[in-house]
Amino acid sequence: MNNKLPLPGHSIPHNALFELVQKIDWNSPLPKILTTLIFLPFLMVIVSFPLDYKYQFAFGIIVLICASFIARSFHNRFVSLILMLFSSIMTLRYLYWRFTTTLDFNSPMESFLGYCLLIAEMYGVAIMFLSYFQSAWPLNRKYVPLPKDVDLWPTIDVLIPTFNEPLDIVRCSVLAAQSMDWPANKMKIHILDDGGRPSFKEFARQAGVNYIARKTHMHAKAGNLNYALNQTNGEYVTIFDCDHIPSRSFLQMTMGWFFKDPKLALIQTPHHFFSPDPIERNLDVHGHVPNEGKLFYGLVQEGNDFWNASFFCGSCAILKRTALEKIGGIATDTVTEDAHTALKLSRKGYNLAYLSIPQASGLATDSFPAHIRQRTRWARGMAQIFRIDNPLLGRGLTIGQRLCYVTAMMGFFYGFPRLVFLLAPLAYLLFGFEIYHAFALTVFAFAIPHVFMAQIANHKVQSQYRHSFWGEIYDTLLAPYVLLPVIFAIINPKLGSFNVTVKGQTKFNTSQFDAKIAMPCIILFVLNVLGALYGVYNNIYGGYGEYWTAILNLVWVVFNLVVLGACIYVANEAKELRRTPRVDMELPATIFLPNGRTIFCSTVDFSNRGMSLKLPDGINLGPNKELDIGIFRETEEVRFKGIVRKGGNLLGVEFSPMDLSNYRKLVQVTFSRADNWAVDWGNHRKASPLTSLSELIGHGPLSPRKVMGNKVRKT
Amino acid sequence: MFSNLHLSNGMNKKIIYLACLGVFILNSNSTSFAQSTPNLLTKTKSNTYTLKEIGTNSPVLLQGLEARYDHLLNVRSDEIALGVKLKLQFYFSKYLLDNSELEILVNDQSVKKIKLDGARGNQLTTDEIEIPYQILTANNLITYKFLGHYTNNCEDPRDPRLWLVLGNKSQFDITTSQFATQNDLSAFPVPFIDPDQQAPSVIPFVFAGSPDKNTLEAAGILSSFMGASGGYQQKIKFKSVFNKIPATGNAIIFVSDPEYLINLNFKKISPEPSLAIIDNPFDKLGKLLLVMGSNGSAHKTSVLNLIDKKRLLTGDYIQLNDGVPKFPKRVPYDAPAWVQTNKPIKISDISGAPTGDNLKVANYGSTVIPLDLPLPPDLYHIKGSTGIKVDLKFAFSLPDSTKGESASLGISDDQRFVRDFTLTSQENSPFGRLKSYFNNKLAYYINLGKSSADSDESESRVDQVKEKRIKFEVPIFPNQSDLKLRAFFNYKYPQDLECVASTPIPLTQKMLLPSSSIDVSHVSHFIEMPNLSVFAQKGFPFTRLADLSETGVILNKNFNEQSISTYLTMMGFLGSKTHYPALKVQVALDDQINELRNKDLLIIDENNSSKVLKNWSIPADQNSYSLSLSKMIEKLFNKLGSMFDSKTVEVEEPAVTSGDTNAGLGKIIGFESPLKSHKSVVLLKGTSDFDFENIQNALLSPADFKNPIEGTNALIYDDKINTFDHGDYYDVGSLNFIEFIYWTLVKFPILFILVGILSVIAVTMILFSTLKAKAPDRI
Repeated sequence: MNNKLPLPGHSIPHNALFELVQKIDWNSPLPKILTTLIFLPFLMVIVSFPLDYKYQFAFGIIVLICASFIARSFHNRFVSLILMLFSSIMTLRYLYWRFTTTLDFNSPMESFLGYCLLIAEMYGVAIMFLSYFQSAWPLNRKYVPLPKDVDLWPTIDVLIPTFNEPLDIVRCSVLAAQSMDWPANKMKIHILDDGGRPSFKEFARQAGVNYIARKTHMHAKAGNLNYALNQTNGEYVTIFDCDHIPSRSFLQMTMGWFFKDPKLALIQTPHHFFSPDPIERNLDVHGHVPNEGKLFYGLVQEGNDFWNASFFCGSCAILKRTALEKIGGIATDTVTEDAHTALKLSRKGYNLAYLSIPQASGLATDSFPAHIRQRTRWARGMAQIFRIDNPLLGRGLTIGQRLCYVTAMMGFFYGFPRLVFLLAPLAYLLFGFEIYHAFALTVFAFAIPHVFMAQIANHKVQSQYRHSFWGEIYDTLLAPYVLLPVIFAIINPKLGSFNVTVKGQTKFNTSQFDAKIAMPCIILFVLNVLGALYGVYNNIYGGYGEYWTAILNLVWVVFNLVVLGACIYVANEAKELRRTPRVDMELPATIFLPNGRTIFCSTVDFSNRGMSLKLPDGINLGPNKELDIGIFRETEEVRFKGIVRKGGNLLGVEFSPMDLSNYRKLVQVTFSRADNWAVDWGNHRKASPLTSLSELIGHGPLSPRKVMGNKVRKT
Repeated sequence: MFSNLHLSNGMNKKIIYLACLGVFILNSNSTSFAQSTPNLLTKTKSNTYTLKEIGTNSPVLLQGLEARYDHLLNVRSDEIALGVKLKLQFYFSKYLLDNSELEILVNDQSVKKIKLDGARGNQLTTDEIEIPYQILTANNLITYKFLGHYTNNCEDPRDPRLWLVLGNKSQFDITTSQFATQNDLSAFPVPFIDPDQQAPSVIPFVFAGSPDKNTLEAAGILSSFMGASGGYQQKIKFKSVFNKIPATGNAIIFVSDPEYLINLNFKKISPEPSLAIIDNPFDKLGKLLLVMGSNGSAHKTSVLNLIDKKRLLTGDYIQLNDGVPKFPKRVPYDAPAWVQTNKPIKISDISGAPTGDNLKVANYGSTVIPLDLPLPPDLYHIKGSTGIKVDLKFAFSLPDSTKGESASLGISDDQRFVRDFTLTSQENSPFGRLKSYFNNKLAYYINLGKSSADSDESESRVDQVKEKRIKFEVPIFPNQSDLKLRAFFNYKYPQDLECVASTPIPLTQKMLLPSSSIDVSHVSHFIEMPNLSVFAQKGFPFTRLADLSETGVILNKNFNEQSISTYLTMMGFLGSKTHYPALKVQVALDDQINELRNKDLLIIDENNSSKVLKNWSIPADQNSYSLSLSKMIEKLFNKLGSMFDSKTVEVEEPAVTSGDTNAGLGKIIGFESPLKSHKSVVLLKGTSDFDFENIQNALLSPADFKNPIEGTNALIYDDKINTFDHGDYYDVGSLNFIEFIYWTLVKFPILFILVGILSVIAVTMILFSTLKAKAPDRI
């Protein structure tokens, strides 16, 4: 504060305005609304203030420099909001200019293409504004302890639906679920086997869990869950996909919220994946560049939670049975039953919560085609909900909830806009269509601040959850695949059926290039290359048309090529040597050799079949040795028998066959450790937008060469 | 020799006269001629005009195997050319073979063929050409025909070695002789003003006795009408004379005392308003226009009747009993000389815009077609605001892309590049064919059921000449009185021209179509004043209403001839800017200015004796240079802006002229009227006839001065104009609310930045506190 004393002879000036400001009760809405109304016209002036392109460029650059300085210097929510406002202003300036001066076409074809581009841009801008709204205030919900009196704790049914997944995977999940810390008489585990497999029934018997199989297979997973809901009676229902391995602390960490908020119907925790998704694996960026899920569970859900619009994601969540019964069980109208269920709960006035502590981990989709199938299903499901139960319409939702749900749904409609962006520069380079009526340097002057300011604002908000421009890869890859399902779902939401995401089955022994799946990207890539070559030949050397317009379009094409190149590279499935995915984790371990020697060492990674161990420096062991490994779970040491498969300082040990109780112990000391997944949650490396762009470029132009080195898999 | 003359009414006299002349020349010499036959003709005049003065604004480039340039050489309708000598200046290519030639034709008759020998090429060549009077008429078509050859073998007309440049400093020495014409009021303003006159003219206005206010207004109306009747290039000065008939030449005479007429041997005396045209008693070739009436208002009635074109005045005398004719009420900015601002307007509907022939060029290669359109000078502009919307229709010969030819159309406005368009025959490239296919298909479906006239782009191909239509915006710049569009048709040919003499290469046609239109109806009228630049260029603010109905002229009570001359010349000047007479101008003496309170004022003050000015403090009526804060910021921004410009904007400070403020300086000072805000005063100040001559010259012939008139104060002496800003600004016109905010923010950029930052922080604070207050509800 101002600690200067007034100088003799001076009095502090009596400032009526200042006193007025202090007197106002800023917590009541009226002064806020009035102040906004006073300043909003000024913002509108700034948005519409005409500047010629040099001044606009200077203005844009100054704002960008100030914004990045602010972004680097301050780290709080106020600054995030300021940056979002900056970004909104630059975008609105762009839009104002775009609408007032650039929609002047010379021919019907150019008008048609020009409006397509405008629609695509409008989609992008709408998503930008909605995502600002969504992530305005990530809630950061904290853990709430349970009551001391265990008798008050409710009864819980743990549902583990499965359809065609191998027992190996399900076994691990079931054993981990059994190991959750909850009074045994208040927790029941159910395997919901829609495959009706005897081996599962036998395993359920051995493990002592309930086995539920139904006669029909209506409504896929949702039907399976609803059937099980009728067979059970716990006060709460926890759902784990069969590949999700819960930590022992799962229920302890989450259930507290139901005591605090009686209206709460759902608490969702993040989906954590210990295996890389195909994009991460094929680009080799797992753990290096955050994936899509990191953004969703790290930021989007936190933002949704503020607006009471957290999503049910189908797994790793607890639902209140009474609430579910109110809405008639899990929703079955769409192929994304989870999102629709959450929407229905919201409409009934229930609260939804999201707790950002990973308490379970699972397998990511393991091949690119599977990934595409999964995302296509989501996109179709979202489009179905958008069509049959539009969150903007109907009763029971707050404005915040409506906008958040709409954001989630529209987020999957990127197919058309993305394709438009990939093809738009070709309209000029190949055909000479002027679909954007503006002087190219003016386009730069308005578009650069708009695009980069959005990047800066997004970077500030999402930096640890998403690296700038990487989202382009996810969207571009899937754009050709989600386009038609979304359109069809909007036209007729009844079309199509549920398909199960394949996990834990595909293995690649050698690198393979899936030409079929990459074909849309290859076609787009070739078209863009053609456009670039013809543009350089015709416009740059041939002198056809306006020079800067050609440059603008070429820059655009180059960016497309970078993204498409990386996308094609994703289709080059990297080989995976291990039969089951491994989890990196360093735990203290002890090796007991048959000769009685004991070596203290630490684990490097583990799977349910084996483990890697790092021996102390200078100590090596040969292969094919039998040994015991001891790992501590709190104070109790658990021992497993194993055979060294790979010798040296870094041991590869395969577990010897073990019985169920031993296996349960193994799961308890490894997969279901309480602190397993929470440690590195949100601790991703941050990368500035420019670093991120350069990394992305590194994957781009090289990729075709990398691809050519591999055999093309005939499919 | 008469066969090619049109026997029009006016021409008859000339032919008869020429016949006499011809006969006479055979017998006598011309100097004694005047004395011996005084009734027939008395005066021989010699004048020299450069090509530039008669309308060829820039040197003319002739290219190709055969090229021509035409212009008109006109002679006053009461004069006859006795002989014309053309002193031609030109350059030509040093590659020309000596069978190349430049042929000069007058009215399609060959006058001279000049051999062009490449050995004398690439340097200034002069030649004198006598044009015999026998082939001269009142309006003569002068043609320069260039026939170039660079080889005796096969030649390509587009070869860059084929060129000749005609200098526009080439001059015509014209000897003319004046002949007596009938006294006919219907011809007015001829012979006082002749549209064919090339030279500056001075027209005396004679007042019998000291004129009263109404007579002065009548004289002002008449001088502005004459100013409006002159051509664009004409520089008409008016000279007031008290009680004295000029010894030679024409004059306008305002008579209220019948006694006076007796001296002129004029018999038809009437106290009613009447008009007469008589011979000058001292000069048989001179004409006197008598504006008669018992008082000033009768003079006004006479003048208004004279210029009311609906009334057909015939004969040499007419008495006007019908009273004052009615003229339509003018609305702001409707001056005929200006582009109308209330709706989009076609070029063909703009008086003063170039006509079809000037917009058309057929030659080989690239061409600039200029299109100058007169604008109101107070169009509001800030950087980036919507400019002048131009809907340009043009036609061009398709380049043959199969032969590697290409063409583009670059649009610029005088100084700045605006846009560039590729001119292609889209059918020739594979993608282009696809494109036009799409376009046609789509256009077909869209226009199904619509009339074809609605089609946005009409492309018709006739003989490879394609019509196209483009729309673009031209930004408006400060003090821009004309929109100077330059349409640069740029044709590119492959470097190695193969010889194609066997098949003649057609000329490329380039034309702007007069059906093109421009639109400024969306632009507000708003300008920061004082701004002498718009005064000098457009007579603004007085000309805002073309009949000067919001203009008051204040003269000193003891005015002299020079004050009135200046006043009349100013009226003529304003008339020439609007092409409309100053029907509603009001004159007052400096002791009775009350009725001019609400008007824009033009004050003519000789010898610092104006009583009006005594009570006013004239801003910076001294030779000082001051700079207001806002101007300084503006300059700073200009400098900042110039960093982005490729060419730097020179901000030159005018030299401070110090010393005696009263000696040999004509002054023009603009300031806000102390009588009414947002009204302007333009003060013309001087101490001698010489000063006022300078002021008149500076306004009428700006090209003769080194600097333009601009700023708020202009000091004129000899051929120099010093200008500066006194810094007291006011604004004229109106803006809509948004524009007003923009304007305020542009004037005060710091305010813009502060308001921006404040708004962002305020809105963010409100968002922040709202969101923060809401969060605990959720957890």
